[in-house]
Amino acid sequence: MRLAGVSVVYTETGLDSPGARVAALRDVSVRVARGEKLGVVGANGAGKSTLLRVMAGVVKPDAGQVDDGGLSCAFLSLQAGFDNELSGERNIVMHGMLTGLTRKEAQARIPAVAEMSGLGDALARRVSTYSTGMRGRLCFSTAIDLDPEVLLLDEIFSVGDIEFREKSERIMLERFQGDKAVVFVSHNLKMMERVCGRVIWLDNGRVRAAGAARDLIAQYRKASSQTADGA
Amino acid sequence: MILIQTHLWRYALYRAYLNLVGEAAKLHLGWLWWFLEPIAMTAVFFAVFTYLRPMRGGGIENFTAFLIIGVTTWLWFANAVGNCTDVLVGARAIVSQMRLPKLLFPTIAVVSASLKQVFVFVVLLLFIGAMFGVSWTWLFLPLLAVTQLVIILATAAVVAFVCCCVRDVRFLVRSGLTLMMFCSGLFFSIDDLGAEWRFWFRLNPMAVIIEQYRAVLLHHSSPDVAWCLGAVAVGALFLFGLKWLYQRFDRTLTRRIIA
Repeated sequence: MRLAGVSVVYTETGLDSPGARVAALRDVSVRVARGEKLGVVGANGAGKSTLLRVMAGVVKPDAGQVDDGGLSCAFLSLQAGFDNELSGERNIVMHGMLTGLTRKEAQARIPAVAEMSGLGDALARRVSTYSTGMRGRLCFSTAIDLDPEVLLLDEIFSVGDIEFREKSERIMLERFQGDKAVVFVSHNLKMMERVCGRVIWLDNGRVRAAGAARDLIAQYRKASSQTADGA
Repeated sequence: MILIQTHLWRYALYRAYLNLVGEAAKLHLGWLWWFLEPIAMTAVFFAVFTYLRPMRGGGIENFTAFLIIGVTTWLWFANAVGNCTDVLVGARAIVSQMRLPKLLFPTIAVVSASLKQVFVFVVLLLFIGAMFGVSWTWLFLPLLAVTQLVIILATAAVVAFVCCCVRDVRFLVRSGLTLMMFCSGLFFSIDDLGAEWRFWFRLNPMAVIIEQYRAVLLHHSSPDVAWCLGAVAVGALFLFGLKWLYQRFDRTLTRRIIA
């Protein structure tokens, strides 16, 4: 997957500054190789989620080119597009149907998702009754069970307990071997260092640096602590 | 596939079914409301036009049945189109997550309203059958329903698109529907209007389709098949144009929904 010179500008519709244009990404070029585990770091509002949305084809850029290489992508964030009024099971079925499965095929996935998420009987309850951690479990398990070629994860491991994080990290590493790629946005830098080979650092919509995970995370940590000290 | 891919049609049907189940679960009378709502609205119109304006209905034979056919047919259109004002903005959570054709969302709204309409038509046909008997012309009803569905789908897609791009328009949709209702011959026969008015009223496809339902159900006569086929053809062309429009402005729609 390759992004070349991608820029995305949003127009504000809110109460305070309607019509204001906000550049979420500015001239960003990124290449994700087959089988690569790429991390994305940056402060809040740096453009990380927008970058994943562009990679997933959800948001089309205002400038630049995106070549997804015809690979199937699954974009995962805690919003996840779940219907809060429906049960976890119904949401699993609907998610599967949106990706092209028949209703029967989608229903057949429920036991696997139940096992992977550890949600058990809670899957029969409405999603509105779930904690954020439970949503994270449902979201990750639903998407990973579909076996996409590129997995785009947006802060999915910022919630949930240690057991789930360890389990999902293990599953992710097991399943995403070989040609399958993962792009991983997180503030959990330790996990990113373990999972990713390469990391890019987004700052105010631009790629500030890119490099080997260990070096870049050290650089990012240093800069973040300096900013915090300065503040 | 027509308008959206086959698997998305399957999703739209399932989603519409869940919408109905979910809505019914929140109501004390549940599914009964799918029957009670058109009955209540018909009763209101009947009371108003029979007792408050006694001159109305006097010239029309079987005014109650005339009114019920008009109102039930109209409600299908009005509910489906009325539900589309916020349908794209309401899909924010899923649109920001997956690459989906935006035409899917007005389609779901129309399928939901159409499933409800199945119940309404069952009640309508039982009532009309008991009052006026069943005729072979009822075989034309599927053609009328398909014609109306195409009209509804095209209108709903336009409303959803425009309301997403210019949100102010949503305030005008209800007024527009009310105006259109009064121009659709629910309470009067378009044949009773002067020749100069008849032409203009019949430019409204809902006015013509309501006339066709009345012809089949009340007078046991054949509908204007040529008009129906023509309306389906024009509607289908219009829908393909709308599909192109949705694809062409997909980026704009996504930004409007996510922003």
